[in-house]
Amino acid sequence: MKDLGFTISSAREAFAKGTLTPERLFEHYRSRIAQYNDELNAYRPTSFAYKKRELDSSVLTGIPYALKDNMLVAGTVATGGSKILEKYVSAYDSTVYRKLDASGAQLLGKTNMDEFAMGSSGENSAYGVVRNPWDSSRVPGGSSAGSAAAVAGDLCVFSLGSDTGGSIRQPAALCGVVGIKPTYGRVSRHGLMALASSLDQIGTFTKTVRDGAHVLEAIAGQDQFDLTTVPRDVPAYSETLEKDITGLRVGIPKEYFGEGLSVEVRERVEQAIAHLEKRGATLVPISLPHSKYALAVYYIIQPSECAANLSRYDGIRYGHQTKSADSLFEVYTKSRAEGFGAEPTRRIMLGTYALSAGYFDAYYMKAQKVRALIKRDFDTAFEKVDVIAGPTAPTVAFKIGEKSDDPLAMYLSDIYTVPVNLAGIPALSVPCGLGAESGLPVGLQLIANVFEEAKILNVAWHVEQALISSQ
Amino acid sequence: MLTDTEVDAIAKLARIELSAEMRERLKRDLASVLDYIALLEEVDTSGVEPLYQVTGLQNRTRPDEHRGDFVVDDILLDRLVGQAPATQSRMVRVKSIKAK
Repeated sequence: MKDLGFTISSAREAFAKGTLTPERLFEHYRSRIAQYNDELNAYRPTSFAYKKRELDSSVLTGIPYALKDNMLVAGTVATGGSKILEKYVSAYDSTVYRKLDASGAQLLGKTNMDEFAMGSSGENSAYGVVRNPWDSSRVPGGSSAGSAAAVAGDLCVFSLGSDTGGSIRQPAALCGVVGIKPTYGRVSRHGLMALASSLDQIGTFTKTVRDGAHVLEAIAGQDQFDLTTVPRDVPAYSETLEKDITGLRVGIPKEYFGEGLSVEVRERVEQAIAHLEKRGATLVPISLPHSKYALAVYYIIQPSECAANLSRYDGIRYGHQTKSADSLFEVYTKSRAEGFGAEPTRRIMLGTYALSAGYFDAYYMKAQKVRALIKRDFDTAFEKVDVIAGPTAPTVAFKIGEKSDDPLAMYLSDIYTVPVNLAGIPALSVPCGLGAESGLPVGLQLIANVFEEAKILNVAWHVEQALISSQ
Repeated sequence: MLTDTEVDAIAKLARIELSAEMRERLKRDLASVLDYIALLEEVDTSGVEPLYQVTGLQNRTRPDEHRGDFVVDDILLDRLVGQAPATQSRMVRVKSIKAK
């Protein structure tokens, strides 16, 4: 793997030795962004001033990071990757920003993303295609495209993204970084632009598993402004990373290794799983029989919730308003036509159709019932295993333009990540080497039962160690 | 393939005007996704309760108190009302809802 630059741990060490200060680290990243962002298009132009802070016991003090541009910081522009919000200024702070700010972390900028977090490639932003730092002719994955590219291209130490069907894990896999999607209800979504409210969750991109544990500790917890957050203490994830995994039961779902999985991804994933066995884990073959229906369920529920959530962008209270309307109705229809790109339009249309009279039972209700069966598959599996391991994405990063004309082919890149959001459970993607054919990063996905982030972080740390020692 | 009438009816419900090109594209794209979704018909869901959300938390409310974190000063007012494309003295201006 390549050297990704400063981690939280290495920056803190340098601060302690006196060889680096937070201000110099901030300037270091500002100049890297100035140098490399033209090529990667990972950041939006909004910039943030350096906040002077005394070094203290907080792990994140002075650590530069980036936020996906669908998270609000009061007084600054948040576009959500959409033209309809090109000039929108946030009225308040997102809870994740407040928490990171309170922990001493230093915001560098906002990252480019697929419009309103719809996309698996970073090609759907109104502000241009985001490129993969490993190969700029390829996509970084999406929708948190800029957040993944910024970490992989060493344009920040860590970043936050949002994951509705794989939007953290899939780009993390394609960019060779660690991406965590926590349990639904673990991290507050106050100040996150809603896409699909029963699925959305905020999570992290980092260069190491340990960094991911640190950032998750800082952003997790109940929030009175997001009543889907669960009243449960946040464990010290970073303290249980190195726990021995002897006897830990790792489930291998046969449905995640079938047709569509590329050979080079399969090789690396199987090798990582073999490493876990060498380290004492017990491999258990399992079945998640309703996996093949997850994507179909997702493409009913997600567009339905999206159609409802995006109805707020109507050109009246904020955002783009058309100049050519003759009636209130036309203000809505023309402002939305001018402001939304192709993918939001497609999903709003699909969702509106699925929720319309006469189709509701056949589509939305049916999907929610199959969703219950998908959840039941996981419940059954977790009676026998501690974690589930498999590929994060079926292929390595694909070429820009390769799938943009075929929505269904694009949707299939989320086939292994979508079931996790439907079930509301936590999962992460950890790098497990480079594909033999392409030389591009492959991600291993680890899934646990609700609120068992500590287990997958523990296993991911062992995967990371095995990879380091094999080099 | 969806018909023009069907696509137009959905667009009207969704409050999005479609260009001729977009309408053609959507007829094709929606049909391919709907064909794929038809896969769900083969799943036996009799007796299965729909799963609308996963936390099990229901009817949660916050304390009925002033939150205190929003002080409506000129700056906040400007960010809330001031961003409307058409305003008239601290109010959002819209076109008449009566048909001409």
